[in-house]
Amino acid sequence: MSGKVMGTRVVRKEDARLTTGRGRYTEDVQLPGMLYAAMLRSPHAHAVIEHVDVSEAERMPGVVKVYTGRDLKGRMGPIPTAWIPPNSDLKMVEHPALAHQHVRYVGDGVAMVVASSRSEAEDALEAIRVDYRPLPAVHSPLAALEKDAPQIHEDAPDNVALHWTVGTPVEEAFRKAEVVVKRRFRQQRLIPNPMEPRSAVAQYNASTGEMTLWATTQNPHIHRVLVSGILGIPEHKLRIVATDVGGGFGAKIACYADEILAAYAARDLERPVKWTESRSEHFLTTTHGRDHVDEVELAGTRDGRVTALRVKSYANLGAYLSTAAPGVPTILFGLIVNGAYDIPYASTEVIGVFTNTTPVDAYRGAGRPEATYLIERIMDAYAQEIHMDPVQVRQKNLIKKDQFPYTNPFGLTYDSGDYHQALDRALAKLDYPALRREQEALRRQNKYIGIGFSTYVEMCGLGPSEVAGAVGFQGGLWESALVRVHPGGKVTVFTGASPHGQGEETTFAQIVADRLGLPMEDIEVVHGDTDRIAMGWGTYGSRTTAVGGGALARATDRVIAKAKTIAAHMLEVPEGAVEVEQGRFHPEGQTDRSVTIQEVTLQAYLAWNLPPEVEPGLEASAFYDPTNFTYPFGAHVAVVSVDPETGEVRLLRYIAVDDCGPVINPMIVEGQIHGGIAQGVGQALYEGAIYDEDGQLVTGSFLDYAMPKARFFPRLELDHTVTPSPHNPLGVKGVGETGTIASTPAVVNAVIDALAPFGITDLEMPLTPPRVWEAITQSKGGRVS
Amino acid sequence: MIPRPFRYHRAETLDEALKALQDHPDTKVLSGGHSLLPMMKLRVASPAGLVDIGRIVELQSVSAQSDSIAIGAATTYARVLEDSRLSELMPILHQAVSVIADPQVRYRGTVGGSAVHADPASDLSAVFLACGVSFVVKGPRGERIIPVDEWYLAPLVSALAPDEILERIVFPRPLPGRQTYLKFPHPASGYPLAGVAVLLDVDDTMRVREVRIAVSGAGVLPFRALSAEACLKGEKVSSERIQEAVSRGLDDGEYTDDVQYSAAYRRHLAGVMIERALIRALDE
Repeated sequence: MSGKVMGTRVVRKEDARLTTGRGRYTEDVQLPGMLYAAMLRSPHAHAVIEHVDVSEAERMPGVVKVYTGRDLKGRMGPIPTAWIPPNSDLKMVEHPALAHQHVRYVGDGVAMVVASSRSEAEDALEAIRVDYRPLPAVHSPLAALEKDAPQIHEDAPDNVALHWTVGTPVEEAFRKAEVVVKRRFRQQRLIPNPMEPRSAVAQYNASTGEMTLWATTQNPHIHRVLVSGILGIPEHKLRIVATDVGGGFGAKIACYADEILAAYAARDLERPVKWTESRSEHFLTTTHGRDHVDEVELAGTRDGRVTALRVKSYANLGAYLSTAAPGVPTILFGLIVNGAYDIPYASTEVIGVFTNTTPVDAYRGAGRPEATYLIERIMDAYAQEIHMDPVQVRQKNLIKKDQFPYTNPFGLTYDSGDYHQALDRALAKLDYPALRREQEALRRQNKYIGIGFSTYVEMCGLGPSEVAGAVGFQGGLWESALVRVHPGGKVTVFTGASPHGQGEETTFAQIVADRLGLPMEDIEVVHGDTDRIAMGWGTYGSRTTAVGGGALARATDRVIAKAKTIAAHMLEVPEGAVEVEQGRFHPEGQTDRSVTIQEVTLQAYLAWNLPPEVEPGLEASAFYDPTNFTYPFGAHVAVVSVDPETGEVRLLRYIAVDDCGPVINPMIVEGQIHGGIAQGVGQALYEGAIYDEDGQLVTGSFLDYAMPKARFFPRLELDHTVTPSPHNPLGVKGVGETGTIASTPAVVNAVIDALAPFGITDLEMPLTPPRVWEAITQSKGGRVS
Repeated sequence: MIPRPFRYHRAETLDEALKALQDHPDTKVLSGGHSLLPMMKLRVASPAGLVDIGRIVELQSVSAQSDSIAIGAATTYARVLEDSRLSELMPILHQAVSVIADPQVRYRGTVGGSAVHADPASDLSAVFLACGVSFVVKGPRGERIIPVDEWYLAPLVSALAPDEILERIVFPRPLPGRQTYLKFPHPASGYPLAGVAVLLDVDDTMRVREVRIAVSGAGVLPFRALSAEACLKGEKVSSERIQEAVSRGLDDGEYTDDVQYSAAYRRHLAGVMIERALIRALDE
């Protein structure tokens, strides 16, 4: 029998397949007679389509059919939005899969060519003639709100997509405040760039009316609901498959026009159709992340107590409402802007804005990085204002261990935590006093290092379905699991979560292995196929282990309960008098006589001699709906150096103390934290989408858009505290997004700390060498142009 | 991301490649393919045909004479790095090639491809300028030898005619002994925002006998910082002298301006990197 595997560094089961090129990604699907689709995309950010002429393209070699927006109008539903925050006056503007009258961003779909090969399809795109009448475009959220800004949607006056407020009254606290600190932070736009671009393969069986759609999605069952509605294919005849998905980071939550179009063409032509985006298309058309302007005011006392927080945010939603987009800058952001601090009064106002840009939706952290950035940055600004150490200000305001469960000013109940302990751990690792002395000494030599903190908390493990309904998410957020023990004692686990790189084929097997006392290799985890898994809600919002794992733990325990009943019968002892240990069932206190799980399973299937009322077979399912979100937290510290001559920032040390509850697989958790930190540091120092005045994406390739690279990082120093969540079966809290949420402000705080001798108090991200150099130069009265 | 249709011809000899260029108009020479193929995939370049010189053995030879070193145009970066004799004779070439892109690119990309593509941000352009190389090209009108000072005509435009092929790059010998290539890479592309090649000789009293300084990446074209060289030559090295040279040398360039990296920043950065490269060369 195997030893315990929970909490150990089990090597990922999926790696052998994925690292040797044997994964089965959507693009790997090849079907007989398959056609290829390619999309003609608008080169204009905003224009009227006067005329589309496809006659020449239709005559090109290999072309089977060309579709325009006009051809499809009324033949399929619009691309939907699935999150409608209550009291937000959300403007549900029409989003046709192919534009038929207006194009609203560079990359907006105008026509689709379906041809025998991808190259023929792409050649034919060039033969389509489109007459555009260009209109003025606007790409920044503030400019779009100006009086004379171009109107993007008729149904959304002044380009306002939503207006939402939440929180407690703060006016009195601000009136009485000894200190008020104001800042305006820019959350720049990010482009997710998972390794695998988006792809779809659709196959339609005209005789049965059944459609199979392989697609790069994080949530195949949500896709089944949406695609069913858009194309009018009933759910029982629609199968969505997303077994191997090469990363998503939120950008593969949304339902996109492209996959719908491929499916439409497959049904129309009765032949399989594949579509795969190029990296260039990914930059233009896959949802972007962040893009806020956040106006933040903090009220506090002179001795370091924060009394109130007021946030007003302008969130750029892009040209259309992507699937989850309206919920990201509202629910996932506005409810947690107080962060890990006990702030009595806080309010958030959010104005969602349409612009002539790629739609914005969830990107790793989705709303919580934006919230964490503003609170962690303004805490530093407050500390500086009252001449207090940023650590001390945090220690004074962090929610205390004995305050849990803690209800924040927006009504969220933080489940459990010991925030001070995490910070203390980080400080000990850092040797803070020594580092401050070193910083002083270096400054005298014109060398600049900085230390930045981020004591974060986030809400994840999405989430209770009742809350999903209350906040306007058009779905449930429970999760399903089915544990099937086969007659020979091997196990298949079916999960409604849809991991796409996070490693749950391994961690979920670990959960089951220990409970059933089976070796890892006897357990297979199946995910990402709506024909194999009845229902589920997918993987996003760090929910897979907290919610899907909860379902799995329950289902496994149900299997064990039944197995115990059968084992008691086999051992001829009363039910309830059986103990199970490492896959062996024995009478209580009597270990010399036992039956194995395999023997019990075989009996369950043979059913020659089962206890009365016990049905044959050994499997159980669970539909687990959590009662609360989970709230991972921790303390991250960045130590940076700034080269005052070049403006270059280097990360010298990075310490992350995270608490995600009990750790199932330390290696996988560390991997999640490593990747998360890299993406958060990417936002702080390197990444940023830039549009020009005409709405053209200037940073449309890896030549201009800087992704973080391994060589930019020192060895990351990780540590953990373990505070279980009291309300889910495993006590786990989720760790997929913490690194991204925590690291961005830690790094920016460190850079601003390094630049303190120059009187620099804030800089806009990304903190690129020219931006830092310009700030330093201007602080000395020098010229930068 | 799929090129328009094109004709492909793999040439076994340089003469065969030259003939293919002549016989088929609008044909481009394919070497390592790391600049041309991405442009074709983006449909920015759409030649009717390609003639592949990547397997022509005579274009991959490296030969050292007493007064020169010749490197075949189709020699890959990886081959340059493996050649210990080259590293010994021209450490600056090894330094620059070792920081080009990543191992995959270095395995395919070629020294001649870099020269012909004439990207002002190529690492090697600064090395070519500082070393004062000559480009030996072959064409229907015979052989031409083009000095590096006449090579970079405009961004992505070299002095090579469309019907010519670069055969080899000739480095003169001896070169000044202190050699440094210092690069500040663009965080996205890895190309230099400023790459500085310095060749330096000083006598026992730290008086400059010879100095060459060239800059890639920062400028609209790669350039020699001739005014900086003039300021240093024959003078005793001091930090004041170096700073004076840097500030003069910066006027030798015309700087690229884009939304992320302004001309002012690139100019400033070029100055910082020249100064640091000089100091590193002196420290050797």
